[in-house]
Amino acid sequence: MKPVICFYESETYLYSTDYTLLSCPDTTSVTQFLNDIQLKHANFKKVVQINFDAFAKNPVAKACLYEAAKAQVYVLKNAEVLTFRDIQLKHTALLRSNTDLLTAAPFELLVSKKEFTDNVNQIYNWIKAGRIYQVNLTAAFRARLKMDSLQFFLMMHTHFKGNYKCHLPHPDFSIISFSPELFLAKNGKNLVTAPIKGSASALVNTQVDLIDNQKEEAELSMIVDLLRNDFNSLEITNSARVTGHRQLMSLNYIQHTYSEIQIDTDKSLPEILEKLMPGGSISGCPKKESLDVISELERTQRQAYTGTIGWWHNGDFKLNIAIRTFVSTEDDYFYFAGCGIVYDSDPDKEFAELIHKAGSLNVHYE
Amino acid sequence: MKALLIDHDDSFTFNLQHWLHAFCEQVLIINHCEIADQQFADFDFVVLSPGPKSPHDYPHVVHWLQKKFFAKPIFGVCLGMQLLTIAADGKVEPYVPPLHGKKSKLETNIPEFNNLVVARYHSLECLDLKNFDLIARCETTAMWIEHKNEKWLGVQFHPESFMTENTFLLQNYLQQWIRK
Repeated sequence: MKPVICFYESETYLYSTDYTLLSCPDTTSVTQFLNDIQLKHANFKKVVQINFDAFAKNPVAKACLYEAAKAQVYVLKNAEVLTFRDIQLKHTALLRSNTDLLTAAPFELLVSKKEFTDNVNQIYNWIKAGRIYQVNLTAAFRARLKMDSLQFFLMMHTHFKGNYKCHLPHPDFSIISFSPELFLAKNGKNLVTAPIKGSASALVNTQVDLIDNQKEEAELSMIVDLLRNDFNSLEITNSARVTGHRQLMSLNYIQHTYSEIQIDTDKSLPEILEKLMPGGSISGCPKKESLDVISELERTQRQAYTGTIGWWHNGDFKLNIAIRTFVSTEDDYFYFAGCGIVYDSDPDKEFAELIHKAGSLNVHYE
Repeated sequence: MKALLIDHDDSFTFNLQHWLHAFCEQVLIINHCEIADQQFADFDFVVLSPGPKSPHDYPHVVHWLQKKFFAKPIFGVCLGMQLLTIAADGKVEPYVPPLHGKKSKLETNIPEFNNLVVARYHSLECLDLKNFDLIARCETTAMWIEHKNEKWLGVQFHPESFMTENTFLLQNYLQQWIRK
């Protein structure tokens, strides 16, 4: 079996070739699906992958880029805890560089620059009219590329910095995520989230373009209030605490600011996800209205992108926000990127940020 | 005290619920669509939550306010204050540029609240407030109003935001205002 690889503790990975893959049937709610797994496989380590709109009561019927269930769980019968170096050593045959293939197959943006900037302007008008405060607008890229997903994961690993990387194989597609963003971590009663908002190229002046920039500050502050709200929805007597605000995260080609919010709760993973999905940082504010805007403006369903991926063991778990994420199918690789649109967003700058989030990929657009 | 919190599909309603818990033993949340069927006798006051869109998109809430079905105190936050304004013959118009997730200092004659840093999330503002006393403002924009005859209090800023400083001052003020 192709290995499932998922970020774990202190720069190690869960690595397993001995697992059962369970997919959530269309007719079952994700909560029910996860509750069943919780009962039947409590003692096994599990890797969980849940789509962006998996909990939507009335999911939009929109084109999908690939066929997939709304949620999947890998129940790991045996798993090793390995460093990235250990994983490389297991797969030395895949380590020969294949960058020629990548250059030959550029990632085409599936919307035109005009369509994207028109949508930014539309959101601007809605913000002005009071409909929403912020929306995360995303787009997909496609490369005609046939390459083994594990090889791609190993090859691109150094191009993307981030603590929440994983490789999830499936008979029809694979998900490769290089996410730097923590959605939820639960350890005992303690639940933490660390939303990222505010971005600048690694080349610019951090102080001026990120730290002192009021637009970037407001983008993150809004999402902090939103996630406080989502955390507060879990409990009555315990309240959410902001334990860090506007910390700097420097990645290879981009830098971000992020915050940290915590609460104490006895609730389980299925209950927590039902209230908190999709994450605030990749939907918008107010969330309900932003989700309507996203379904009105974005062309295709996000599926795994901006959903969540991570491990789950007994009551504890750690889940990313699936950004900086690829999905490979038999003939294609898809990549996705997005930006938080607020009133002071400049359409051309947001488009530049979208392209910038593709990092070192060879990107084409119209 | 028992509060009934009317939610306008907002993403800050649970923050407001926790904020009210500072002095309320119970804060029940209902959706604005349920307002016509709700019993109010058990509650000491009603809170109108913030929310998306304009107060004109919630005619059933304005109607409920104008019919005075609830004689006890009503506290409106952001959209909630705009609903009170519309219900009392004021106007709500676009505010340019909108402020979302930004901070300002209150200007008021109440010493403890003057220069208090508050969080703002609004793209509309309340005007023509002839039926209200203006308690605080930011430049020319009304930030805190009280109806001259009804027991209605409204704030345009967000007391429940983590950006609003010394928010216990407002929790105290509101508690005393309700009891007054």
